[in-house]
Amino acid sequence: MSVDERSETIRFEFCGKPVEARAGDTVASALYRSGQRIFTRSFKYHRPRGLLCLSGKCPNCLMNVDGVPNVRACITPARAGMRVRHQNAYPSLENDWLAIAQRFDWLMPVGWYYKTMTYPSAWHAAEPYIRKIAGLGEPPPAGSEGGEYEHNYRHAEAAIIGGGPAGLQTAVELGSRGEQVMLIDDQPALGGHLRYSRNSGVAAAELIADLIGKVQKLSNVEVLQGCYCFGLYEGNLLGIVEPNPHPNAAERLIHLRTRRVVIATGAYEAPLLFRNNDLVGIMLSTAAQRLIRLHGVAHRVPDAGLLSQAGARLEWDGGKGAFVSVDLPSHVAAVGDVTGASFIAASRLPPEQVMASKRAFVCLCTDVSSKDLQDAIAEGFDHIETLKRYTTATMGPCQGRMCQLSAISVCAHETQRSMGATGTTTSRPPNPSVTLGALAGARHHPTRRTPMHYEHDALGAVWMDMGEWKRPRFYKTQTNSEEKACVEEEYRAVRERVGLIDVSTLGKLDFKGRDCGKLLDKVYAGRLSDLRPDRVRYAVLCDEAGIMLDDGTVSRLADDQYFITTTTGNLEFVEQWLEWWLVGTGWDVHITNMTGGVAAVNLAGPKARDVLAKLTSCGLDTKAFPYMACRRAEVAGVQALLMRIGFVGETGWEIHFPAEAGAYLWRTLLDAGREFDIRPFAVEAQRLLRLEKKHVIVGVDTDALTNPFEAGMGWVSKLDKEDFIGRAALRRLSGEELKQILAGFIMNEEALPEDGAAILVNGRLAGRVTSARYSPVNRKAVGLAWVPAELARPGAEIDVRVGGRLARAHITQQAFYDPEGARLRM
Amino acid sequence: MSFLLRCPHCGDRSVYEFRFGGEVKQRPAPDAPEAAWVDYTYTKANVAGVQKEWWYHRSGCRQWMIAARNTITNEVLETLFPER
Amino acid sequence: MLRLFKKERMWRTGDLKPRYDVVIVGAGVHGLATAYYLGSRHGIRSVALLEKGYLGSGNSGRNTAIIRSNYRTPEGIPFYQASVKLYEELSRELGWNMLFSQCGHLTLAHTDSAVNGLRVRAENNQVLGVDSRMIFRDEIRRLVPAMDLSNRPRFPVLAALYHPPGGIIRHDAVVWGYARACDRMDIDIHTFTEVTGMRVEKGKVRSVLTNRGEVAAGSVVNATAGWASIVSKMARLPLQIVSHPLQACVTEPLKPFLDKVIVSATLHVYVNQTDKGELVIGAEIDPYQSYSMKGTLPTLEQMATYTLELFPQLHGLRVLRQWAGVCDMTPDFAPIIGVAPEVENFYMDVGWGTYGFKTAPIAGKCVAELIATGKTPNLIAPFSPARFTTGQLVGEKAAAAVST
Repeated sequence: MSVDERSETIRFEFCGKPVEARAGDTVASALYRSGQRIFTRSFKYHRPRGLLCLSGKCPNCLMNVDGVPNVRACITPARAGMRVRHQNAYPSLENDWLAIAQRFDWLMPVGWYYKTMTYPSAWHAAEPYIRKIAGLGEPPPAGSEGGEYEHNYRHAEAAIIGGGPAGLQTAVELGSRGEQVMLIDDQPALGGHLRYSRNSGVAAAELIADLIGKVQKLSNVEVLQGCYCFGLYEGNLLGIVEPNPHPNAAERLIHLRTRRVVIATGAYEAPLLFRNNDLVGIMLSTAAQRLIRLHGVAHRVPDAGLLSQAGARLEWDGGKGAFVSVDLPSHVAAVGDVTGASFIAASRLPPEQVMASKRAFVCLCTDVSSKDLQDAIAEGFDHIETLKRYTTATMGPCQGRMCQLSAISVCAHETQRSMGATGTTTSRPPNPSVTLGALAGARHHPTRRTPMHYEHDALGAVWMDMGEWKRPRFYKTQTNSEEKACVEEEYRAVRERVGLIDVSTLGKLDFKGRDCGKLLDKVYAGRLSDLRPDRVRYAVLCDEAGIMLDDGTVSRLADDQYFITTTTGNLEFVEQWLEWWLVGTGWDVHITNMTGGVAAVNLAGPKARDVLAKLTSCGLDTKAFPYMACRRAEVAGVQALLMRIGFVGETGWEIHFPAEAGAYLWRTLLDAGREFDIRPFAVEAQRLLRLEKKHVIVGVDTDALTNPFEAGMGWVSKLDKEDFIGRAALRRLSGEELKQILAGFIMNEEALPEDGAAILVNGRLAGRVTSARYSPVNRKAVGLAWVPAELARPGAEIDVRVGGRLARAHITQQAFYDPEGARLRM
Repeated sequence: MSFLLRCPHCGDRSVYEFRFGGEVKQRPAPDAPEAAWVDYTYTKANVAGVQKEWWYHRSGCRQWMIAARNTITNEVLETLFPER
Repeated sequence: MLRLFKKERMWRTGDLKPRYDVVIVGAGVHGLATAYYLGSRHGIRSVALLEKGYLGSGNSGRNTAIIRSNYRTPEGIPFYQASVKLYEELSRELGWNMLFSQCGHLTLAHTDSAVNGLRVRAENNQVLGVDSRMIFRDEIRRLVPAMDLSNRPRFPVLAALYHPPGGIIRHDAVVWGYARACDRMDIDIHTFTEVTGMRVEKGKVRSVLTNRGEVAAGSVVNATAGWASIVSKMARLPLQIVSHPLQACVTEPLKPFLDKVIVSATLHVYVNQTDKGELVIGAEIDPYQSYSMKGTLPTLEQMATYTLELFPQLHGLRVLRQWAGVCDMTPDFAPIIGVAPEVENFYMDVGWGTYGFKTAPIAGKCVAELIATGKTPNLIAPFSPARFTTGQLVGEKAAAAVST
């Protein structure tokens, strides 16, 4: 697209002043027409810089557009109403106070900051001032709205990067063979350099028109116009950005997976090294034109970044005066100018002349001169990679496109090595640069909700995150919204009457097959093959080091069927772990993950039986349905699995049933419980209830190194079993003296430690609190803590840090509530 | 979505659909000496080159498979379901 | 001031000598620090550093240069604390400014369990004398006004562990500073010298084979991070290490707006802004073992996604480069330092995982002391290679900013 002279003019704002533009204008071309010559100020010396590459490759026209900093004005289409501001200059581009830095450049030789301010106090004093003047564009203010971005995923047999003559030719060839081809071109129209080179002539125009016509006729060739490819990743995955795919998106990131990639990115021009080569207008002056036309002095550089990313090696070709790509991987090809095929060694300014001039800027992004490179090399930074890191040349916004070749030639000259021996720095994606927004896309973050989620909402749930799940932490009531009081009310309902909690987030696995018992015996530390049908057992999973990975209940539903629960966070791991141990055994076991399809509640408290009896014909008295038994029965007409277990320490049933009945059964249970003053209870109350019973939560009270013996749960592992995962380690551990033990404690005074509080013994760090809560039964705070084994005896005293001071506590052996477990069995 | 693994069920799939399960090792016999168990539990060959390793097709057929992969280049030479 | 204009070579290159008292494989920060303390503290100067690439080409130049000591365990905290203390004085000691910016370090918690995990660290830090405390939204907002502390994100920020002495340093400058100091003690730095094998006889490494010839060695140190298993195998010592790539990226410079290091374990991302104005963003380790140092698109996308969860206003900021290092992950996320009984003169300083850069000074100092005196310094005793046979693992895994 070129500027349409007849089109209507539009207006945008530049630093508060109106600027006119026509269709086809970029921000830069419109500004240039309006008389603007300085487009930015340089990073370090604040030298005025003007348009240089007009192709988005150099750092000379970075501006703030509609609040987004560092926008390349030369490739950004002008739009009506856009607000453009200059950056890195104060008060204006023409008159920048920090330009004074140029006068002091002699004080800032390369690496000056490493050689000065070596005293920490000096550096700490200076750093804030350095930070004040660092950086380029202003960051958008916090809270400003983000643009919309999206991702999509495409496949093709071949991708061709670059819509110049070579790319078009290849597209026609591959397309004619019937291959599914995608042609990616970053320009507004196909044709590459033949769109604007003066010497291309009529023949070239016809050639291009012919190729474009052919491409358009091939329905199997898709052209992604105005899209740039920033990365060629493993497995032939191309990252492509499509700007403004539709009015509601700023950018779209296309993930294109192909069998083959043809790189036809052509070449571009890089600046020459001569004194004051960075001055405004230098590329457009007739002097430079003459230099190029009459003296043939130019740096043409193959745009080989993608080839390098693909794993090709860059080799210096003296005849071509360019680094050419060799050893291309089999799935990648290169055509056209990117291969350097048409290059002839350009004559250059003699290096001596360049070297004598210290104001020849190699790196425009960070103001690194040829003198800086010479000095760095003299100091021993004579490898191109260390030279880059020491001087920061090639590390700025141009990503080395403008400066890499110059830096190499200076390095080669100074070290008296060849260009080839000097070599290039590693090319890394993304190249060109790409926005965080495009990379992030629509930023979906999944949330899992239980089937009763909206029931909880209506009941006043205050939510917390558990992995991807949302769970109520506690329920606000009409009279109270304060957490402590609400939790205590929920607690009292369970201890004194009856409570109902949603435990649908538990992992749930169904096991079917003749050999389920064998698998479970092998993987769990306990014995499960001898579990009678209709019975439940607590089970712990350890790894080969004897570390506790997970726990849960195992219910035997039939000879060949088990139902297992896992902790909320470990489900995926446990399922994969069990499947892994099953591989290759030939055993008849089928594992089905039921988690999403099954809702679960725990109905607990002295009145739980009365509530449940209203809804089921299943016998519930302790004789018919003892503690640690399970039954399948209908509850309010819903097929359910009932387990009599007691995590919270009261008579209770965990009821598993189809997720679609979740809200219905939840409401029905609450309705049935109304006459007993039932209350829904949530995670915080459950944590307190279980803590009074000293029931351990794996992952809360244990960590990545805990074994069952330390956790006071050695009984869960059956060391006499023939073989199981972790047996060797657990046998060894069973005979070893323990260093630390998870023990219960009661505070001696009125003080409530936080979870995680440190435990001190004789003033030394000796352990930590894993869980602590105020226990209404004990009228003191109680908790679980890791303490040295020698202190894990009833009555032993420890110091717990509470609010930064030490408070006394003593160790207890028994559970804090109903130590005999009588209430569970009532 | 970077390199591809050929799942014997599902075909060429992005590595990010899989969970890596570590190098393939022989579990010692139950009565093996302690040193063998320590070795099995902690020691890793950490091969720089072609390694046999476990992968689980988490976002696909949910099966464990074994792949031979070059850990330097990430080239996958072979994938198979272990013998039943 | 005059020094500013003097052009001295930082380090020299020369021929391999036939023998050195100590041959250190790997001239990253760990190897260089070991050599420096051998020379400066113990007078052992017949030392060679063998580096397969250019100086600083491994993880020393690939990490995100975060320094902190707010670890979790009684073993880890004093060790990392000692490292911070050495770093604080290092610019002065070596006469080379490493731009150590103790700007403060925030570890964010977005869930209850993360808050509790951070509290364990805060408590242990405070008891052991490390400046570290829990802070909540109001104070976080004062320290990092640019961060989104609303309830909009999927996982809103609930609290943070604030560690004022934590910060960032110029990683390459640490490499160069140590290299210069080693060179001034006539310690030899051999770049592009790849170790290809070792001659092991009677439980000792006699010599090291390289692409430039054979070197006899009194002692050999393995300081090769992600490549530690390969080098150890040459001494016939298997390790407990799995190598995983760790990726990072850097954006274009912005005017400084963020002067704290921000880490989120829930979002698996860490972000800081350098003195140049660039944002450096790091990811968690890649989910599979590999020696490949190619960046991947999904990880880059994750880094961008999570950065925008914290700083949504940065959507238009451009990423300039992504890269990867190779981390030597151990089962308990704690290093392996010391000598294995099977090969008595082969010293390991490996298994640093994602924490290597932070510890180079103290690890180098301790390893140097171990080599020079034959006695294991207390600070590294918990990290002995024998811990896997005795089951005494270190519990640092629970505090990792990355997870496996």
